[in-house]
Amino acid sequence: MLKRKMLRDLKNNFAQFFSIFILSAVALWCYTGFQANVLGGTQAREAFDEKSNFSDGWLYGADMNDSKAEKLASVSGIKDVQQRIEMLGKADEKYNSAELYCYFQSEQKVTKPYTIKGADYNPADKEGVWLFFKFADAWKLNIGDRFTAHVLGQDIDKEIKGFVTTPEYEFACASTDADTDFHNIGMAYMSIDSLPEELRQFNELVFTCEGDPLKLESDISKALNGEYAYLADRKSLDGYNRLTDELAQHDSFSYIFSGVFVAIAVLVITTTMKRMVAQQRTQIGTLNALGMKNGRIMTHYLSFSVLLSALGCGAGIVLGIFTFGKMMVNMFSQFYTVPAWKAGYDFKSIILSAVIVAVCAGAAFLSCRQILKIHPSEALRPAAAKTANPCIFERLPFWNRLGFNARYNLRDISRSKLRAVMGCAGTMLGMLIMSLGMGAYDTVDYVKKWYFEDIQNYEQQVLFKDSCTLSEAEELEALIGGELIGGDMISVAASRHPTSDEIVSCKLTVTEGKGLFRVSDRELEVTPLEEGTVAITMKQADKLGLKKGDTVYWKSASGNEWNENKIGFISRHPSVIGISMLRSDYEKQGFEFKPTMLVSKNDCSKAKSYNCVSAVHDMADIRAAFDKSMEVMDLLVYFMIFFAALLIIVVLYNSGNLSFNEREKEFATLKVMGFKSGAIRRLISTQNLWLSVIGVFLGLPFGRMALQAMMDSNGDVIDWPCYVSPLAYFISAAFVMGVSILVGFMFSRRIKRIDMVGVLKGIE
Amino acid sequence: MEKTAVEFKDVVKTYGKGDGLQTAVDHVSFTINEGEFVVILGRSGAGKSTVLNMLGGMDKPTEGTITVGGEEVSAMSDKQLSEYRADTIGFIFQFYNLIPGLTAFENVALVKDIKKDALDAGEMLDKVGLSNQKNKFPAQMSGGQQQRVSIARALAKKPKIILGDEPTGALDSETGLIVLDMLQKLSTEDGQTVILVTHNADIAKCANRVIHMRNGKIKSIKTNDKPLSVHDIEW
Repeated sequence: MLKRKMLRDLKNNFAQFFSIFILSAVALWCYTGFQANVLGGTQAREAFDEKSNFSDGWLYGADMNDSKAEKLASVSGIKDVQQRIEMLGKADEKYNSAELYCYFQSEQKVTKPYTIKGADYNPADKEGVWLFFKFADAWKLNIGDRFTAHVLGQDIDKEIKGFVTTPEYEFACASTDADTDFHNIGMAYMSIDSLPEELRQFNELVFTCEGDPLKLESDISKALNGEYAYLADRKSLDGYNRLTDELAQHDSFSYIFSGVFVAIAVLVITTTMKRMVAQQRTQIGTLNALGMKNGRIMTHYLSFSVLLSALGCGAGIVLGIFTFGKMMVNMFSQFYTVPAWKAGYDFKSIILSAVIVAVCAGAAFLSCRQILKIHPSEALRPAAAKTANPCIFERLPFWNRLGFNARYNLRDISRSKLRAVMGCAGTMLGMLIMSLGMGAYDTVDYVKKWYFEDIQNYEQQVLFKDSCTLSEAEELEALIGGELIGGDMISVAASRHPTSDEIVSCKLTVTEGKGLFRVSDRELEVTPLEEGTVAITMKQADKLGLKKGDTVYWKSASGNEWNENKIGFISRHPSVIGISMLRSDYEKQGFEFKPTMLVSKNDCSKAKSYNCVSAVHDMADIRAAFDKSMEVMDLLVYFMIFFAALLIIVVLYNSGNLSFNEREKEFATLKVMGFKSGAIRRLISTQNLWLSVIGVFLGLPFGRMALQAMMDSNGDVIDWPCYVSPLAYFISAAFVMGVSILVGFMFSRRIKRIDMVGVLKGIE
Repeated sequence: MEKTAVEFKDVVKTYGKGDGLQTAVDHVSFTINEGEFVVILGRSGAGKSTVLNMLGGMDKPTEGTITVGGEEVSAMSDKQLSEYRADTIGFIFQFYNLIPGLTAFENVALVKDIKKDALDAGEMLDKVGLSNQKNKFPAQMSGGQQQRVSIARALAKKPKIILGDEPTGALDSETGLIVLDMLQKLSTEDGQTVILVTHNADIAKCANRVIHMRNGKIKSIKTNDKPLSVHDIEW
């Protein structure tokens, strides 16, 4: 019978119980959704890395012969070693002369190509070529077609034997493109025997090892007598890094964002269960008076909360994986290439569900125990109204001038503090998430303006080939006008003899100081570089404990000498970390300036015909590419706003509902006294509105703080200052207030239908 | 020889402490025999409901002993009291206290969840003349009907004693008489011990004995040699 009672109670108190269900569901929906992408991505990546035996280190050099491979293999900690030739070539003109990274191998032990279609890569098959499947898809190539790679001065024509990918190509973008276009970037695996004998000279050793390969560098250097150009680890792969950072970011999102939801859910669920049990006080008393054992009554009331929260959590997990998670995975799959990337899940969702269920059950247990503690004879009587002591507000100098509505609500808030706190906290957290979501939109625009207008004060960008000489670049600069920019990968430290933990890998940007490629300071103000000083990006300066006026030490990736410079100011850049310095200073230190691009406000289209130029980009294209890369962020923002709206509606409705149920007897009395329904509705609305306003104001600063915490969780490479516009605050606040007012109207019908006699007699 | 069903010995019940100490029942002693129809009469605040609650195991005395069927109820633990209420007592409340989410039938059948050998809910509803209302929810029934369901629920437990706290208090006189008749018959025809609390002196005319209370004390205990039939009283 008690099961039937439970089902009917659920039906009769649908709104209250549904709020428990929906909040549990939303908390898990949000957490599992984010995690589905992160876990799925991580699992797929790990499987991909393992299956392909993905290299931990890359050792580059002119002649990486068998002897060097053997010596490397003999270093303690090194596991598998393999030689290969990696060379940038190009495809036929009919394929846009796409950039084609060619790999020639005699064996396959490390970073083995993963077959998407066709035959597995066979290094002994000198008749075949294995192409990057995304490139093949873009050009609609088929297995069995002929394909020509132009590399090392050879035109190598082979039959396509298979379509493959490797972890090195999880993210791929041609150097000529601002955004991924698989028409322009490809990768081809062939046998070393495809090359004429005189060209069969390996330029790379790829290896797997235990732990960090960079920590083995001194041993490697000793074993090879320093006869190699440089050693790189996985972190030096931009694409690999990008996905790692993005997954880490989403991992943080899942904790920050769903943490807020769980907090709200727990708060609301606890209050709702407490009130629900308290409302059934007489029924609990009756069951007790009839002789039902306390344990049985307790189990009955616990089953409400356990059932609802467990169902909610279950629904949230399913929705998280199959809606939000799946959408995120689909969106990510457009940018990244990881085979078998599906929405994943792990036991942590179950643990979180267990916590929510336990909290709900705990709230019901405590409330029920409180009622069962008192004698049944007392429990049979409706609870005495709370003692109405003078409230703190009565000390207000204008208290006596307040109307009935204001006084009534102030006293009610004073008597029902928990309900008031719940209403405030719910609105505050709703406002937090709403302004966080809206702020994320503003931040994208803010960063866009900062990046594309303040830092990049130019309209066109001419990218130079590696082979471009300084004189060729300067010739173009003289012809078009603009500013030459150079750069290098460097290591930065705060002392001349740092340990490996005290070194930060980053980029050196060398400008001519003409004001086209600008640097902004800590406050995002564009600041010119002063001669004799450098600017270092904020996060790296903070990490190394450096400040303005200190000396920073740096060396290029291929160099051994530490150079030193005085820090002129601490700079900020949304996506490039490292040091910025003037060309004159760079050259004074004995380095040869090697431009990588020319930036200009003038039309650079004529540069396309120059041999030293690899691509010319218009800022509009770069902006469009930036917008496209923000699609994932847009999806996140939509979800945030959706969840926030849902949360605000549930919290405010639930708060209004509890408030109504608790005060129903008072409203019935007021009705008997002749109060009109409208006046009673205004009583409810007024309090809801007050609590919402307080919640909105409390939530204002936290939205921005939470957004900044989310942005800061992106790792050291990304530095996005948050900005929440007044309009975003206004829209968020207006939504919260709008819902609050709407909830007030939703109770109009219930006020009209109050059974005055029944309620006043205390009949349930 | 008549067997004692209930014995109150010097029972005191106080609420609050210090200056706020209130004595609801003040050194009350009486006995009730099996099969008696007893009315505890008194004005509001006389302590009669407190006596009934203590007898029903829903409240504990501050002093004194309460013995029911030879067992000392006043010394029972909460768990024992729960069993006592389930096995010995059938309680009828002034406002019926039916579970709103259960139908008439289910409210009576709920007793099976409390006591395994409870009587059939259908038969009990038939006994109180409500078999045609069994699928109705409390809110769909009149006060009299709800009280009859409450009686059926109390009877389903096969209790040794039936306690009624103002069982007709919320009913009109006509419906009240029907309920009262039912309770009287339980005593006269079935030999059930029935103890009612009321402030209505007319109801007392139907009882075998009337315990009159005032200010927490027993003012008088009178025996009706010829209790009136419910149908003979004017209400």
